[in-house]
Parts: sequence; structure tokens; C-alpha cells
Amino acid sequence: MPGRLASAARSWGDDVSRYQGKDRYGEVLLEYLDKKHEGQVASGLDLEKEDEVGVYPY
Amino acid sequence: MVDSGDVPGFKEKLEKGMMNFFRRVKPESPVLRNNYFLQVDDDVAWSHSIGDEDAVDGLGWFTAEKNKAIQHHHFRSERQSLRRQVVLLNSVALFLAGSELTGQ
Repeated sequence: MPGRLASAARSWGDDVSRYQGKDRYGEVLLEYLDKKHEGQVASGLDLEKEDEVGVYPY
Repeated sequence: MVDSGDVPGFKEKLEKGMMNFFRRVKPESPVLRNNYFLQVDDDVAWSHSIGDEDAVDGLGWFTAEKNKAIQHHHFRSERQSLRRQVVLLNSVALFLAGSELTGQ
């Protein structure tokens, strides 16, 4: 999940970023999500499987 | 939260499609979607970081403190439904059997 949310936030265009207020929290959020994602990958997260499970909405 | 001001790209890109969309929504098929947001507080009804709900100015992300620590961040997911209503005339008929009318 942290990898997917980080990727989604990074994909926001200018309009969406402004609407979502990305500039106010983006640094802190992405640093946190990246760290969590790396932790998951290090614990053996299968990135290919990730696309199949946890399809939103649950 | 209602946005003040113009939605970017509304007239050029969104208006025609949106009008068609609303015209095609049927009463028996509500539109469902999930929206997600980040907010830097845990207020459910209104995120006060962006200003007071009734504020006239100073309302927006620029008001929120920059780079609050991650423990203040919350992920907000909203499930929204849009249903076209038909006009309903409900008549509830009440029938009382004879004996009930007279209380016997």
C-alpha cells in the first residue's frame, strides 16, 4: 500500500496537486511512504502480486 | 467542502461531458465512487487545518502548517453516491375493520 499511495501522489498533475494540498505535506508523506515501502520490499513483498490484491474499493 | 471560484478546465473540458453524464443517470442506478484525500489533522467532519468551515477568506491549503510530522497525517476515503430521484407520491391507506371503528 505505501508504494501505491506514493506512486499515486507522484502522478498528480498540477491542478490535482494544488487541490490536494500536496505542497503542504508531500515531502513528509513521501519520505514516510518510501521508507515503509522499502521495508515491505525488504521483507519480501512481491511487487507483481501487489497489482492483483487489495483492489480498491475493498 | 464547496470550492469557491472556478473549477479549472470546466468550460473547455468538463461541462459538455458532465451535462451528458447527468442526463444519463437513471433513478435505478446510482453513481458510486470513492474519493481519497490526505489531511493533516484527524477531524472527520471538517479538516480545520485549512481554515474554519465558515471562514470567508484564509480558507485553503495555504493556511495549513507545512510539513507537519507524519503522525498528524490522515488518509481520508469517502464513498459517495449520487442518485437521481423520481417524484414519489406515497399514499398510505389505512383500513380499519368495522369492529375496530366502533371499538367493540
